Parts: sequence; structure tokens; C-alpha cells
Amino acid sequence: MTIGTNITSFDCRCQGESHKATDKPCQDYSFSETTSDFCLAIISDGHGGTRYYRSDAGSRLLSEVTARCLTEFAKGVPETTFSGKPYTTVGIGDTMPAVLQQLFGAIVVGWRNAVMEHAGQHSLTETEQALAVPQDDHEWEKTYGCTLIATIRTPSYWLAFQVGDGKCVALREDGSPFEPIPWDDRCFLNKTTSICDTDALSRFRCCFGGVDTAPVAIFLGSDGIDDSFGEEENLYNFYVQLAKGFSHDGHEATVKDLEQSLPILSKRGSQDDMSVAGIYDDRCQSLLPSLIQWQKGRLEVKMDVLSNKTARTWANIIKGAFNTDDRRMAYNDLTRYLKEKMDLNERIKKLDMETS
Amino acid sequence: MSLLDETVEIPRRTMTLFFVIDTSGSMAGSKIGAVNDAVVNVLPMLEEISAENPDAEIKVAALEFSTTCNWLYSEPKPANEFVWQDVQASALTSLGAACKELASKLSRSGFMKAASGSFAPAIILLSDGAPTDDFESGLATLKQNNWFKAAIKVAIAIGDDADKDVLTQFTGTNEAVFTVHNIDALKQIIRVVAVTSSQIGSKSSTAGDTTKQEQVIAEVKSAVDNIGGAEVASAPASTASYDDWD
Repeated sequence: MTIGTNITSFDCRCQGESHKATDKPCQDYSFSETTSDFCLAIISDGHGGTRYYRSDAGSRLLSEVTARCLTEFAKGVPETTFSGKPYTTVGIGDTMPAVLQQLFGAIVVGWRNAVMEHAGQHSLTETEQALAVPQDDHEWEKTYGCTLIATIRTPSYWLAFQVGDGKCVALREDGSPFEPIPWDDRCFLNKTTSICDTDALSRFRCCFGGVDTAPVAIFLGSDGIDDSFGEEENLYNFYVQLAKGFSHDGHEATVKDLEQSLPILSKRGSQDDMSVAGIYDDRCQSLLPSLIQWQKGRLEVKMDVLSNKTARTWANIIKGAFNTDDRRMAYNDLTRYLKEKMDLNERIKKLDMETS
Repeated sequence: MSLLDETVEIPRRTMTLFFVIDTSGSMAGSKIGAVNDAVVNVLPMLEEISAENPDAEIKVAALEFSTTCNWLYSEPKPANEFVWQDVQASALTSLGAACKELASKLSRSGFMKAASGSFAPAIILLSDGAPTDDFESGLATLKQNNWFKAAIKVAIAIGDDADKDVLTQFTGTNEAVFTVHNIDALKQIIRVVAVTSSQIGSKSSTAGDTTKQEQVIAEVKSAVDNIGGAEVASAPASTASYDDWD
């Protein structure tokens, strides 16, 4: 197996459509860095509720602290710690390796210190005072509350971790997408765990492995991205399309496309702030045929489902299984299935053209 | 190759409105007739809200319960495709069984999609009596369900025989239980609750830290003031209050 060596990082964020409408700042923050020793990507999503009125600063501080801690981690942790390790996940309630517990502890403490320093330098505005005046350190931290997803890759290992919602999606060597970090069931609908929770350290979950287990690409996206796509398959498809861009159009053009697309996506999708960051290696360049095949495969599955539905509906009409109202609805369904099949056909043809 | 070309689907988010309807024997006659009439009339309004809402598509699901439970459709339908089939009233009030049935469908293997891309559902319970089965056990199951916990929950008590304590346990607050005493009030309150829940439930943003359920309650309360024969269950019974179903 050839492991990619030229690793690249990127990040991008935009103010959400609903935030523009209410003149709220972008509460997402993103960061990425590529050095000769490592490549890292970070996103943080500040909470939107009124009590979290400094979450835009909170997400920036958390990204900065995390970048600093990861840099020290990459320099300080011996390569043998993760080198040769299999792909490993640590979910909520699992025992965290001591070296990672230390890293996450440093991030939590570093963020809390950064928040209190920021609070000390920026007294409450009249608007903030009207919302809530924090009575202690923890209440101050709440006003800066945010989530975190981060990943780092060095020549000998890779690591990704998360507190709160948003999704991390990775690509295997065959181009198929998966979520490498275990989910936290406390994150549901608009509820999320947070770096500002009193038990934040116990809400970290992660995955890691030696470099020979490294995914081709790891993408991080805030919940504004997830909520625009609904079902996971649609979200995976977005990242597959992004990887196709890196493979076909190159880094600069694809990052520019992403920057231009996020505001459109926010408008058409969740309306929320959006941030995307990631790292990928040079195996991505030869992945285009596999990525197209993955996209084609899911469309073909959808086509099969529609064909089966069509056949079942026709069978029921022919055997007179419907009353008048139901028969009318059945014909409506058939018309819709036909339109959807034609649409799918067009998209499959387009993918065939991309292959050729 | 563009990131947002037709290869990438951006579906609208979904908000499902559940009607949970008591079709026990005591609902027979004008009560069940009014429910059928009201829901048929409110569906086009929901279709309109859904069509005009860039944030979400509204889908409708309906569960009737008497001795047994029955879904009117095997999956939630978009409001414009939901053809109401008049429900008939007979037999017992198995609200506990209905709670368990609802819990089974409030899941990804049931009626719900991924939490990403969905809004919390709105659930409207209509009943005129008291459960005849093990309600506590059914409700305990339902209360474990994350979708139910996040849902907008409103109950309509039809007449004074409705067990308002039970409905309060279902909604989690007596402020979300509205009592009606006549057919016109029943029809109006179904429309107000269904429309308000759909409007608020399918919006991306909420006003500050007020929950969507609290917003629905506030709006329905102000509407109830203008509906003769309707009241918030927690309010003291008016001397003019009476049940008039014929």
C-alpha cells in the first residue's frame, strides 16, 4: 500500500444567511496549517443561543488554543506513540489513552484561560449586559460556548477528535466515505455538547492510527453543513464532490469554489454559519474514477428503488387494489417516479461523461 | 466540475406534524365528524405553509387509537399528498398503546430521517376521555425517545370528561392542554394548533432561548381568547363553560 506523502490542508468559513438577516456575526471559525512536520485542520462552531453572545470569540480562541496544543503535541510526543497502531476509535465512556487525555485537558484548560483573559480585556457592552451578566467563571465560559473538531497528520500517525456536533467525514483509499469519529448521542437536533460544559473533558471522542491507516482525506464540517444535506449519504456526496474537485481541478481552484459555494449552500440549505476544513494527501489525485464510481453507484441504487416502487404500484393498480382516491394518488406517484427516474438518468449520463 | 452542480443534492429540511387521534366509542357522532372536517380543511393550509417555507417541507402523519392503533398512512406524506380518510369511532381508549406505537415510529427505522436536516416534530393529541389501558408504561417508553423530548407537544381536551392530568403528562405542561366545549371550538382549535405548530416548528430560528413549544403555546393561548367554548386547561372553568356537541 502506498501512503500519500504530500499532505495539504485547507479551511473556509462563511456567515450564515440567517445571521446576515439578523446582523449576527459569523460564530464559526476555521483554521488550517501545513508545515514540514505536520498538517492540521480545525473548525469550531459558536453556539447560537442568546446566552452565548461571545461565541464568535469563543470559537476563534478555541481554534487558536487547539492549534497551539496540537503543535506542541506533534513536537513533544514520541513518534513511537502512534506509529504502527491500527485504526482505533475512542467513544464516549471508552478509556482515553493517557497521552490524548493530557492533550484534551490542555485544550480545555487553555480555552478556559483564554476566555477569562479575553473577558478581562473586553468589558460587557450594554447589549451584553441586557442579555445576562455572568456571575462566575463558568457563566463567563458559557457566553463563549462552542464545539470543536480537529485533525492532525504527521509522517508517522494521524489523529482526529471532536466535542459537540458537526461531522467529520473521511475517504478510504477506494474513495468510499465514512465517519471515523464515534458519535455522541447527546448531540441531537439543536442540542450539542460543548467545550463550555463542566464535564467537557469527558465529552471528547476521537480516532487515531499509524500512518499506514491514514484516510486519503479527512473533512471537518460544522452542523450548518450537515443540516443542509439531511441524510448522511447526501453529506458524504458533498465531500466526495469536494475531493473530486481537488483531484480534477487542483487545490487553489477547488478552495476558491468552496469559498464561493458556502454562502450559496447556506442560503439554499440550513441558513446557518458554515465552516469546512480538512487535510488530504496525494493519493487523492488518482482517486477521481473511484469517486465518480461511488457517486454513480448511489444513483443506481436510487434508480433500483424507484423501479421497484413503480412495478409495485402498477401491480396494485392492475389488480384493482385501490379505491378511487387511492388510485388517483397512485397515478400521481407514478408520474413523480417517472420524473425522478429521468432526472437520475441525466445525472448518471453526466457522471459517465466525467469518466470519459 | 463545480461543488454545487446537479450531482450534489440539497434537500429541504423536514418537519413532521403528527395527529394522534382518540377514536374510542365516546368520540362517536359529532365529535369525530368535527375532527374529520377540521383536518380536511387544515391540510390545504399546511400545504400552503410548506410551499411558502424555504426552510422546510411539512409532512403529515396520523395515528388513530381506540382498542388498537392504526396509522392512516405507512409513512409521513407531504401535506399536498395527504388525503384524509375519515376515521370512525368505536370501543376503548388505548392511549398507552398509542404512546408505544408513536415511540416506535419516532425513530430512524420508523418515520424519522437523520436528525441533521430535520426539525423536531410537532405532535397534536386529541382526546375526550381517559385511557383504558396502561398509559403510564406507554408514556414512560415515549418519554425516553429523543424525538419526543424535542417535539412541540400540544393536547386538545374535547369536553370536560377528557382526563386533563393525562394530557398534561403527555405534553409536559398544563399550558399546552387546550379544552374545547363545542364543535365550532373544536374545529377552530385544530386549525389554530396545526397551523401554528407547523409555522413555528418548521422555522430555522427561534426567538432567543424560548422553546418552540413555548412559542406555540403563547400564540395558541392568544387565539383561544377569541374562540368561544375554548380555554386553556389550566384556567379555572368558566361558569359559562358547558359541553355542547349536538
